[in-house]
Amino acid sequence: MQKVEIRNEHDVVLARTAAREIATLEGFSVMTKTRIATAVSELARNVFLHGGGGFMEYDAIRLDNKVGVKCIFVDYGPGIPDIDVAMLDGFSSIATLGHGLPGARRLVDEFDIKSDKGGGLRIEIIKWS
Amino acid sequence: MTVAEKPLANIDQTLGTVLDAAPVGFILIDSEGMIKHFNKYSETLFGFSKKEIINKQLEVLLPDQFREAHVALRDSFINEPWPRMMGVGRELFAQRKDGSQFPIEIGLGPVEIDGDLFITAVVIDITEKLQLEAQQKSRLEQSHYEELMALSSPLLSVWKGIKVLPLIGTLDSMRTQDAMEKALTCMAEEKVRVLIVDITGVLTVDTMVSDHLIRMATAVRLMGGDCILTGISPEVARTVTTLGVDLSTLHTRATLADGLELGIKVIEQGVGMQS
Amino acid sequence: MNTIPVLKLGPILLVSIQTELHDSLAIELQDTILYKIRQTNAKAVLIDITAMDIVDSFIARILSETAQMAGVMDTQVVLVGMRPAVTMTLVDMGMSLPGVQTAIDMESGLFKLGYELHNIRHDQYTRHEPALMEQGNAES
Repeated sequence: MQKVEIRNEHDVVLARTAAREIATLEGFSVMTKTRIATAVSELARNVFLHGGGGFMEYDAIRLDNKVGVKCIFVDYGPGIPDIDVAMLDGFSSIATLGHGLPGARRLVDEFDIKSDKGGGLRIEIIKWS
Repeated sequence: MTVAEKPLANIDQTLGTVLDAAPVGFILIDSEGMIKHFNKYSETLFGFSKKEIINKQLEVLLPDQFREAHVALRDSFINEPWPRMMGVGRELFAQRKDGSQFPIEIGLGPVEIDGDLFITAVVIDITEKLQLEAQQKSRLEQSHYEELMALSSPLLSVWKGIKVLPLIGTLDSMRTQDAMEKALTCMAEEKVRVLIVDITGVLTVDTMVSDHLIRMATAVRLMGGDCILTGISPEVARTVTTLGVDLSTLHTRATLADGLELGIKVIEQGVGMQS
Repeated sequence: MNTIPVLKLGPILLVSIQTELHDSLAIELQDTILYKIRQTNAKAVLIDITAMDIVDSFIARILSETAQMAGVMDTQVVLVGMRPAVTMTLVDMGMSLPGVQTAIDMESGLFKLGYELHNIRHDQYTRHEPALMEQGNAES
């Protein structure tokens, strides 16, 4: 699986661009590509805001004759967020992340969320083409 | 002399010329329904000459099937005589000498002459007007049905900047999604300003279907268009109200034609429907 | 760092988002728009998002907020050219951007605001009063 480190807001863009690219390679439609890229954007932002950083692993997957993209988001748990970023307007309230997650869930076909002992989160999503 | 036998010399001399110049039928009848004056245009309209119609009953000018009832109507008018148009909202017909019938608009007015009550009737032949209306209506309905029959493209062009999306059958989330994708893509490509979603052919409209429709309207709005929902039957209206579904954020019209009328207004007058 | 240009066309500000918007760039754009509105006394802002292939909940919220804040300054914000895929994604996520005006292209955006392109090129302009209907069926 390929990996994207998520440490700051620019990595959120990197993550969604990467997801979009692999979906394009696998021949996803525009609608489906947009959905998965947007879901990745939401979840990657969550990693960076809530988890104080983490990473995304992603790959194309095959099941029977279906093609899909699988992404795994791991964050390290509530740590000290990037102070400078947190001080920017719009980031100051953690309520921000409330909107993204349920929305992202609706965009993908499979959604699995687990938390580990350290308080970190592991979210797996699959979007079929 | 009875009312029937009294000649109306004054009418013939003073007003006759004026009334003969009018481009409408003008008829004067007495309180017994006898025709006392018949202008030139009336002769053209009905095919009777003044000479042959004077002192005949008014009912001669009506289709056979209406004559009997009309006598009673005439009496009730005499009892409450005030000037008005007759049969507003209904179709009235008159009959020519040769038996052919034509649609009319007629206005009646009471007048007192030498102490006796008379009734003036102004008659207008509206054959052409009705024809025009019917033509317009059938043109619209025809293009609607023709294209529905074709069913080749899911989106119908009926006006510049307006598309119609007829939804037919059961509306589940997959079909809605599919329809939305097609509609939105078309909107972007062709700069569609108004999308009319017609649900005449949708079998059931429950809370889920209503939700799909609301989402479709939201999507159209986000893209900068206006969404009009048409084809709402009384049954659907009843179901929707009973279920407590709130469609108040949508623009709804009973028929496609009504929706199209609204859509054209939006396009041409630049009237926006967004809050 | 990229800056997204905010152009003045008569009483209107034009913004065309051509690049990927990371979070702080989005916020910066919001600040710039609000600042320029005050600076130029703009009556309306047209934000062209034709080139945006992804609008997530954060960007959507920033755009919505921008419209609200501009509205407080009596300036209208019109979002132009949202892509079909973006639109469906936002609707799927349950976002409807209430209160944000939208248009399918620049021309129709201007028309909805009551302007026509040939009128506003040279700072002198005439504006026809657009009749705005209320939401739902309560039209005049």
